[in-house]
Amino acid sequence: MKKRALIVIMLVLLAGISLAQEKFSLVLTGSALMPQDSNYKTVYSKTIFFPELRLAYALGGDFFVFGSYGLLSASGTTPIFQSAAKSTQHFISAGAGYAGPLSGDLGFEIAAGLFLAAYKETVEDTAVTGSTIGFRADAALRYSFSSTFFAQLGLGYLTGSDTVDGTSIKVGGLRAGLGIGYKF
Amino acid sequence: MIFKRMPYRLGLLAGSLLVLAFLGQALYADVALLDHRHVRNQQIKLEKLLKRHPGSGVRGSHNVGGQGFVMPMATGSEPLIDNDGMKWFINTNITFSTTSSASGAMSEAEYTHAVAASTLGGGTASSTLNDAFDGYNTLAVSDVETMGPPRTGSYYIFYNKNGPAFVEGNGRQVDFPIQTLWGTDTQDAARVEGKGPQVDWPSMQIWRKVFVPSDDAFARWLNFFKNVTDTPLSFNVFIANNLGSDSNTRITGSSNGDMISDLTDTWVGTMQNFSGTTSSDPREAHVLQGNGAVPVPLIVNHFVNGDDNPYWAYTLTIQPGQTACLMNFCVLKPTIAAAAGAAGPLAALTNAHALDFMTTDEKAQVKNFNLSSQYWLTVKSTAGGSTRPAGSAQYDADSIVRIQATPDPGYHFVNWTHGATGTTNPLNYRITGDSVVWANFSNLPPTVKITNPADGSYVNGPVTVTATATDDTSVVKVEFYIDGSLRFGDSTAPYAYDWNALLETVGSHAIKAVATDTAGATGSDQITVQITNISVSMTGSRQVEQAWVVRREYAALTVHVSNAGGAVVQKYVLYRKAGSGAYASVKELTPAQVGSGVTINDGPLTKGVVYTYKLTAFVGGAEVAVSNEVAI
Repeated sequence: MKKRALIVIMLVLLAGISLAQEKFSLVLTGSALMPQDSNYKTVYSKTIFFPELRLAYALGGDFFVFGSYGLLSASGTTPIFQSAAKSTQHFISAGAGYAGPLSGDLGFEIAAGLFLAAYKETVEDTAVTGSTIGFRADAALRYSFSSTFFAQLGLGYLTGSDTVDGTSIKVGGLRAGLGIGYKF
Repeated sequence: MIFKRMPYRLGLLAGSLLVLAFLGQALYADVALLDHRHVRNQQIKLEKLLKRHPGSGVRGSHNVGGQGFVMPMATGSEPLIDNDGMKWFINTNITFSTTSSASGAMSEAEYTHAVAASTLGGGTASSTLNDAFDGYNTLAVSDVETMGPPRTGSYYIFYNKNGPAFVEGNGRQVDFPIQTLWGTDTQDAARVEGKGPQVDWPSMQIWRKVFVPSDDAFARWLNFFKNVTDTPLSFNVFIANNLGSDSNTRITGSSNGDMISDLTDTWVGTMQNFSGTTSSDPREAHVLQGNGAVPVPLIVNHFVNGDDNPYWAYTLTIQPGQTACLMNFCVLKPTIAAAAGAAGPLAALTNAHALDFMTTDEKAQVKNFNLSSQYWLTVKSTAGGSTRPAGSAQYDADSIVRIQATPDPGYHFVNWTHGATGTTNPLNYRITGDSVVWANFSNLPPTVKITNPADGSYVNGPVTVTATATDDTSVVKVEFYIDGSLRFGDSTAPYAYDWNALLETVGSHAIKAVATDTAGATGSDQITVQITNISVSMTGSRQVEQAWVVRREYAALTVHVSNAGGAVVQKYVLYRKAGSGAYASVKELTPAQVGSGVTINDGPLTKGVVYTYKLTAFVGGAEVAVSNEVAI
């Protein structure tokens, strides 16, 4: 399942690149992510910096498809023994969206897709890794500085879950971030 | 003396003197504290008179055997004539209780014919010497009196065993009955006239034998004493005398060659002093002890000029079951030199007839002459064992007796005491004299061991004191003492005492367990514990520390601590062991960190492995309290 989704995402990106001109955009977003997993929040933080790079391809009629990579990395301490803990979540996302004008240089976009989250947590000498597929939805206001550069302020929600040793964990969370983009 | 010269008036005088005798007896009995010497002398004169005239009809005896021996009669004396023609009158059934008229004593001795008696001028005169004694060799014993003279009205018991004597030694020896002394015996108590019953006198048997040879000239007294108690007896033996020489008694010599009697003399000579140039009494020599160092020497030798009541004494100690004998001789001769010449060989026992008709045992029993080549060995044992040999037996001097002590089941041999020392068993005992050897046995005590708490351990709160006890017989009970105070007795195993140490003061306390076996022997074990009254307990459960993805298990331990004694706790240490492994310290905690109800977390723990925890408290570097074990 995860493998298939990744293949689909890659095919879409390759198709866009090969067929379009100035129909690509690359957006680097820095977000503050508020994890939805309570344990995660206890060990690490309630707000984690979440950088993400997205490549989108405009389809006809203001629709686009995208692929992205984001990294969520944090360090913290365990609640009982205050042991050092470190976790990473690699989000590889693919989806589609719609970007429409609002007025003048201001526009908006909404998008949704799937992501593959590869995660790892290490506490002292104990490390657990895994991956899961989740759903994401994003919305943003876009301001175009030119025909090629733009900035956008957006919100997003990434949600996924997995079961580790019989215990359910959650990945992702509510994201609020600011990004800059380039069309080419 | 007047009666000797007036035989034809005998019948008349006898009747008169009988009246006097009865009066004398009545007076004697009624006024015991008075001096009845006059009355007693009258009785003695009466006896003399009767003895010399057996056919008077007042009392009777008859001659048998042609040697002057007279068969015993109900009351009277037995005359035996030696080969000098001296007739010795031996009291066999005297009814008078006086110092000079006891059974076995001589009431008189006289020649049956005239002899060549010495005179003051050195010559001789033919004379039928007589009146040697008014009473001679009366036997008395006392465990109180030490100096004499023996007398009625004081703490002396006289041998006066009434009843017919029988004879042995071809009719030459009168064998007197056994008189048993016993403190509660009214007969013997009555001998202590004027003093009441002598209730503390131990049991002893006394008998006498008086021998007059037909082929020699002397008389011999054998005085026997047998200890029939279980303990050695020590007492004084006195020989009381009343010589016929009366106030004219004179010392004529002694074995030391002087005219003074002393304790080293073996014999003393006496006579009635010359009246004019002659003396009508026989010359006497009194043989009191043997030559050289004798086992039982004289302690009193009292002869005084002018005193016709000489006496002498010995201190005799006899072992249980032992019989001892004191031997005396008396020689009566016409001259002082002859008496002295006969006394010496008797003291030296070189007289060929001195020991006639004495058995081997009797010779060995003689203590005041160097006669015994054997000694008594008495082997006794305490309860719990026996010896071989046991009891009393005689052994040759300087011989070795092997004594084996054998304990009964449940007992053990302890040691030898009294005449021997040490613990060597069997004992090779050398016979050097009369002796008593005790083998001491003791019951094997039970063994007891306090198994809980451990010696030197710390006690906090109630604890069950347990002990094991074993014995070769059976343990009756185990008693538990705290600081010397009996707290509890348990008669059934397992022996235990639930001790609430919370009621004790903090500090050192002694716990003692005393086991008693069926024979009453006890064994004990004692330990010392320190009471701190610090109580530590824990509860716990296995918990999970959830990071985000990582889950780690740990132990959540809730500690409960009480310190009733107020001891200063140094630290608490948490120990953990995995599975059946050994405990290892995992945490050290300060008292501030360990309050009652505090939870201590320990981890992470390996899944599937059971961990066991305990918490200990330390005071002054010592582990004083340990919690329960918690397995999670």
